[in-house]
Amino acid sequence: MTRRVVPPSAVPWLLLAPILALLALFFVSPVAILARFSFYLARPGGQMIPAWVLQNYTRFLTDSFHLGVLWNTIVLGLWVTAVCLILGYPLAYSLARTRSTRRRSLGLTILLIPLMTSVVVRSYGWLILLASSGPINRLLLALGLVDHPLQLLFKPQGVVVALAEVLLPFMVLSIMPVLQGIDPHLEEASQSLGAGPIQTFRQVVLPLSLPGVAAGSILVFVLTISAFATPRLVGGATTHVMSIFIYDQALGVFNWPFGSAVSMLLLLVVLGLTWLQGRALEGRGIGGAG
Amino acid sequence: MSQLILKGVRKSFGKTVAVHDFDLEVAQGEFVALLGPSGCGKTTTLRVVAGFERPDAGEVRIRGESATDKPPYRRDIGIVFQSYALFPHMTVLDNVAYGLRMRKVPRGECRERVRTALQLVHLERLDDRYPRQLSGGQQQRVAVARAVVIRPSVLLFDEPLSNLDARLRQEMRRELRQLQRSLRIATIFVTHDQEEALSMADRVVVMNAGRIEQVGTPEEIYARPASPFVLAFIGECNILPGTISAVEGERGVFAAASGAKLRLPPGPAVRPGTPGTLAIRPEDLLLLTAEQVTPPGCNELTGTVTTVTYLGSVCHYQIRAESGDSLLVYEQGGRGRRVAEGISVRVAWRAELATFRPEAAGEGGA
Amino acid sequence: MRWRPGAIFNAAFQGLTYLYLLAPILIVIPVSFSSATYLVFPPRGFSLRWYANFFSLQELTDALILSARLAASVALASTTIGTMAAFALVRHRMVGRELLRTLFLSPMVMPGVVLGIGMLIFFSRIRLIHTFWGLFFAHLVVTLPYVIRTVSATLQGFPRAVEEAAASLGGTPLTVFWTVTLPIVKPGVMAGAIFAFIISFDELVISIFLTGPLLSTLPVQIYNYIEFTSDPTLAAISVILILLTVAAVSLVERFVGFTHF
Repeated sequence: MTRRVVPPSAVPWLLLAPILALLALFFVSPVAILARFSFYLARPGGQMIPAWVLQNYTRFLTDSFHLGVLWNTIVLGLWVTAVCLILGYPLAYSLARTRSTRRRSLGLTILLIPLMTSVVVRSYGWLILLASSGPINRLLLALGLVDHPLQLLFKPQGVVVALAEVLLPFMVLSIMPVLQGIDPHLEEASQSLGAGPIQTFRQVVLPLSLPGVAAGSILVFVLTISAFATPRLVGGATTHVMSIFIYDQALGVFNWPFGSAVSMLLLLVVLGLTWLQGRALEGRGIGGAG
Repeated sequence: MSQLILKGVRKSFGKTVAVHDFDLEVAQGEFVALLGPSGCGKTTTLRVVAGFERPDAGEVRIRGESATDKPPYRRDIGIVFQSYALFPHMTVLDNVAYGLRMRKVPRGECRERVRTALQLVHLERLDDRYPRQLSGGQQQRVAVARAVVIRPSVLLFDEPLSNLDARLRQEMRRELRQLQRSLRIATIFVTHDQEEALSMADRVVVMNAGRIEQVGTPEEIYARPASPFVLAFIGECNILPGTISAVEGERGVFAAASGAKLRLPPGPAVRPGTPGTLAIRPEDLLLLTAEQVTPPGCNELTGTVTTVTYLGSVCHYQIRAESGDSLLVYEQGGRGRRVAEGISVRVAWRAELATFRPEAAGEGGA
Repeated sequence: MRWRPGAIFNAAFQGLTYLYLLAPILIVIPVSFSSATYLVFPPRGFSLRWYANFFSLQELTDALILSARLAASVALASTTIGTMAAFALVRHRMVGRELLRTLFLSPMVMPGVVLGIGMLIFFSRIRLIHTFWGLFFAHLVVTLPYVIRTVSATLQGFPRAVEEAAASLGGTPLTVFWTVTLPIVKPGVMAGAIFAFIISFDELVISIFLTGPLLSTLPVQIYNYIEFTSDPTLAAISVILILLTVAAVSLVERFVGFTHF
């Protein structure tokens, strides 16, 4: 028998000690201090007074301008989710059903490239693409689809296009595994019973893929409302979303209490939706082979 | 009239030819088994009939109409998969009613037909359950009900019993056969289990590497195998290579490669010197201990028992003959005796129960 | 299924979608070689001047070096700490295991600005603002979830029975770990390290809150640059970053393969 230097039940805690210390100090503390600051009083000029007031929260939730920021954020989230769903579902379906592992591998690699590219590179690329004299406008003009260049930059439309590009992989990767879990014989059985491809999709595939669709949609929505750099760079001054608002409070106006409160609101929404997404994925239990 | 006709069907996947020139006609009410080892093309053939695979050549006719260009949802077929493929998000009732809904059968009639179908498979009370709440056997019955309720011209089974345990499998074999007989639907049943094929089918199609080796009734397949493959695949067989050494009147003498001299069964005239194999089924061999007498007209080999496998109703003996041959003998267990390993025995058989097959060009050893 | 008539439409749709995914990355490449002094499309001429310009700009090269140093040290620390945590989570059952797992993965879920402003306030208090170490710890927090997830996935896919077989053949726990567990887990660990490097190197949002005029990472510098100018130097930098990413992605693919996700 080997001599026990360390009692076996202590081993996991030894392994966890570094990360626990790290997170306690550099993750939990910042969030805790953010929560605390959200109740501070802010004076013009950057002064902060420790307090326990709800002023910051009420200010955000009752003012029409601020509610407009919230509204913009939600609308942006919905648009990006819709685009990702429309483009992502067919892609997820074809990747799930392709018999060639090489094609799937290639598809997944292409999907992962936007994720692993720096956001500044992508934003810069969109600045070129969406410019009035950029390739997209030139193409549209050449094809005769428009008669003058579309203003896409520094407008919400451009932000939707740019955000959907990087979030599309998340949608695909949420839906694809669920589709893969659906027994291909189910579609064949449906067809053998007289249902054409569209009927089969509506009656069999779509219902069984809903957990993936729900999880993917929530994920994309959450990531959209959390996004900062892309809305800022591609959307410019016209894009008033919560993350940019928080930044302005923190480093523009130096109203840290207010910024903290809005951050906490955003965080609560994000955490709530993430929890919901986890539950959506649990619904996968129904699908799959009998 | 043949409900189903397959003519010259050919299907390749890339460079591999899965099915060569497949011809088959299935009459109404007939139960045809496609039997063969994995990869022999039986499932591919079934999928061509169903319409899930498009043949490279040949045609499929269902009830006289060409179906080769029709997609699966326009063919009049019912199919039961190995995994049952029940829709997990629908109840048993909705599963079985699915095909009727697609055919726009009015609701009242639909309900009636579903009820009848469920009665046929003895599952009337479970119509509001979901597949995950059912046992394997029950799921299988639902799959069958779903396939037959639409009254298809052709019924297809893709190894439906493979996922069931042995006892249930036996039971289902009988039930399925009874069901099929009462419904009189032309049926193709794919299996790799020869017991299943032999016990259920009116006709068996033995397949190997994409080709049909033999088509016949179960008796024909078993007693008169048409090729070495069928011989080796169906049932067990003892095979002794050797040459015809002499011909005496109607009979001949077979000189086994091991040296033993055996009487040939009566058959077509063969020339001395022809190489070939002598095949005998283990159940046709008699195991004789020292005090027993060899019946007249039998070939005989002396040897020792090397392995005994007791299977309850039957006992398998592996015998090593003095001549060097290895023989498998089946003895019905009803006799209550068990010859121990190492005992010296004689193996005897009536000469006419063996089959001689001359070696064809390119066949090589058996 | 062969019977669907819209197969061509389907393929075109997919092709366009893939093009859409790669569009911004592809477009910077030709622009980086343009000889014009301003951002114009289609690019005129062929020149490497923007690449040269990048290397001549002090603040950009300083930022590049800082980012590289930072990413390397973060990758090292993150992989070590994260692998230890992954082992604890996968191989041991302890009280509150699921809760801990949620906690460790939660930085991934939080909006960057929230963490950014939180760390801004906190680090200002403890005098870590605008320091290398402040950035280091912030990046560490952000990269750990990825390392843990990657290593956990590899560990879970590797049945305990293999270790038990090694033990039954006479291996001590340390030997088993060294000769059996570690080699099998290595691809996951390497992949985690590469992820950590890339994420730290590319990290923008939190870094914006924690950097200043005297200390800046490459992404933050590029971000500032984009906001004020748009000359093709940015395109050149982008191409370099893309090449780095592609190299890293193919390394990960080689080690672990993407079927994992």
